[in-house]
Amino acid sequence: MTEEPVDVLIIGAGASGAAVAYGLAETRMHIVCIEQGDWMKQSEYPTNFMDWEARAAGPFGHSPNHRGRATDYPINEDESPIKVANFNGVGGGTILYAGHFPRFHPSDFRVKTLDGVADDWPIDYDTLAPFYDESDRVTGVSGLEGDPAYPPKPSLMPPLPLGRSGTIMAKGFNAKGWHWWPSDSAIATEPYDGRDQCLNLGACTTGCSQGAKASTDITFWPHAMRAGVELRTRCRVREVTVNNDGMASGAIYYDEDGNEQEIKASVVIMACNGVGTPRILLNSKSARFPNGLANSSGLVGKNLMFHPYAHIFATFPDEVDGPRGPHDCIWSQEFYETDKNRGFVRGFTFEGARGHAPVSIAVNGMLGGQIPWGDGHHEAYRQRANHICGMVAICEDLPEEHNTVTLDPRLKDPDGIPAPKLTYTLSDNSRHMLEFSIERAREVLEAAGATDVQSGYPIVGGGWHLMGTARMGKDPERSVVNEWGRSHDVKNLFVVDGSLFVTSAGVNPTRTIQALALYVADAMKKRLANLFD
Amino acid sequence: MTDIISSDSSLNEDDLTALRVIAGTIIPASERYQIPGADDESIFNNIVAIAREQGDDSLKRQLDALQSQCHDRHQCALEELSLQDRVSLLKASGHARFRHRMIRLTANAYYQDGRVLASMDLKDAPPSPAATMYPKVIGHC
Repeated sequence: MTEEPVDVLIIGAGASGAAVAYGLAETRMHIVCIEQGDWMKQSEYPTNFMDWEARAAGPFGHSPNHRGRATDYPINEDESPIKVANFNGVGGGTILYAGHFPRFHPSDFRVKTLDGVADDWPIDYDTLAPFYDESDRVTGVSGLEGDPAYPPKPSLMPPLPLGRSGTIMAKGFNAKGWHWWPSDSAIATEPYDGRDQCLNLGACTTGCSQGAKASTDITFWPHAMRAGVELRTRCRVREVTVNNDGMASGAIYYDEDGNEQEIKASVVIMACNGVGTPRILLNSKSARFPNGLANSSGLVGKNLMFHPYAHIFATFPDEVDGPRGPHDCIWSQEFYETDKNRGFVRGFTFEGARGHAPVSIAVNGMLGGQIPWGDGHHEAYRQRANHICGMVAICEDLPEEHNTVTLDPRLKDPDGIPAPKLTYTLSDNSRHMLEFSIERAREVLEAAGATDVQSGYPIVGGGWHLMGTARMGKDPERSVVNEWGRSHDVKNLFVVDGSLFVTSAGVNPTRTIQALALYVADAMKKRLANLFD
Repeated sequence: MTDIISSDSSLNEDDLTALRVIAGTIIPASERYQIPGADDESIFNNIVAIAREQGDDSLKRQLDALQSQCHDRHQCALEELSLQDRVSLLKASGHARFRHRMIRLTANAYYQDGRVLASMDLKDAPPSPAATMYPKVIGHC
């Protein structure tokens, strides 16, 4: 069935799809967003149930390959040491993210100029700053103004409490004389825009049943829909279609019953994350675009970046927060900027973590050998329960063309659409950075009084951030879209998700993804009369 | 025990007995802390429920293999071994995936039990909807 063409078709209702829908809503164009997943219900999130940790590892797990929801698609990750963590539904990855909400640094947009690696972005921090501010207003960001690691930026609500864990770790950073600051968080610490405030339920990464965490289903989407944007769920896109002029003409998708549908559109916006977007573009082959859509550069799917993570946790004699409260508390950007004496370029952020939940302590302790089976189990468990906290190091991943998203020749989703395959190797630069981060974290934790420091890298299931696979740039031979998100090849096709990223920075990307989507929407609005020129 | 197993389950009585013994081996009861082991009826029911939700075909095969190994080595059933011998057998079983699964199954059921959580002053309730008030932190950063 083919319906009347819409003005704008957005594919994907996660962080970027929600933000671009919000940004374009005031145009009063006929905007339709199609999303393969469902609306989520706060009453169904795991934290409403006693077996919440089991549910968090099951239907609310972060791996689409293990979660097994009908709304997921499989990913061949056999050739990647880091596995994808995502969520397919309205809100996308923000349903399960922790709410860490840092901005990029100004230096992150200029790594070629500063450090001679990768490429500079075609835009800078100042260009994006007003869109960070707008995204922050819709999201509701808590934090403490004055962080010396950043240019001045507003905080809309007080920071999350440091708690016992944050205070202990802050003492460690103080002992070393290193930077730390209360984390910026996409978690409301006061009633905000119809949402209630955080009650420190914990387990933010299983979905926030309080509605305090700013997943885009409860932030951008209600505003966008009130302004007239239409959102349709259970629509799994197979390909973006093109017309005889080489322009995008809409998309073919499968509805909930597996029936093939087509939707026509004057503008198509890709918002499916750094794996989903290249997957669809590569699946959109035609006589005119035999290598996939928007791919004359050959860079669709290349330069895949994660953030390699190290984890460093330790046991403390005093009680810590454990599972009580949001994961976020403090961060440190002492080692964010390049110091070549360290043996690597670029840097990382330490993000404090309050602790682990009861089942996680038992599983990790037994698998790691710190908690025995049988005799001695209970004593060892009690020495660790609510006494473990620590941090992760989120490391900047530089783009490399051999890290790719391609189409798997055999694996398909339930609708028969070829699935993505990841090929990724951890670079020497990343390894050196990860090892350095572990040593520095150990110093901090020991300075704070820790014993039994445990660490490792990478966090295998920690592929939360999917970036770089349809990068922006001014040179059509070195980028997929231009400096305001429009395909170099197809002038009514836009990308707004993490695929755009030229480099990854050493921070969580969601705040920048949303700001970029608002920036692209603004660029489109300013050019409506000649958008396709 | 059989009332918790649906007719389509592949786990038979012997499997369930073995599963319960393994659970109690991994986390035994504690007199000191006045808490049950993971072979407690209520906790074990949860273990079986989680196993069923995950699908129990491979679990059955793994349990069968372990029981055969026990008979081969000790000429007796798993439940007749001492706790130490059961731990040794499980650790030597050579099936890391099975051991990991048993650890996850057992821990997931055990550490959601109200009696166990209460014994550690942890909340005997889901995280939601009760708020957590942070205790006052002594000292300065």
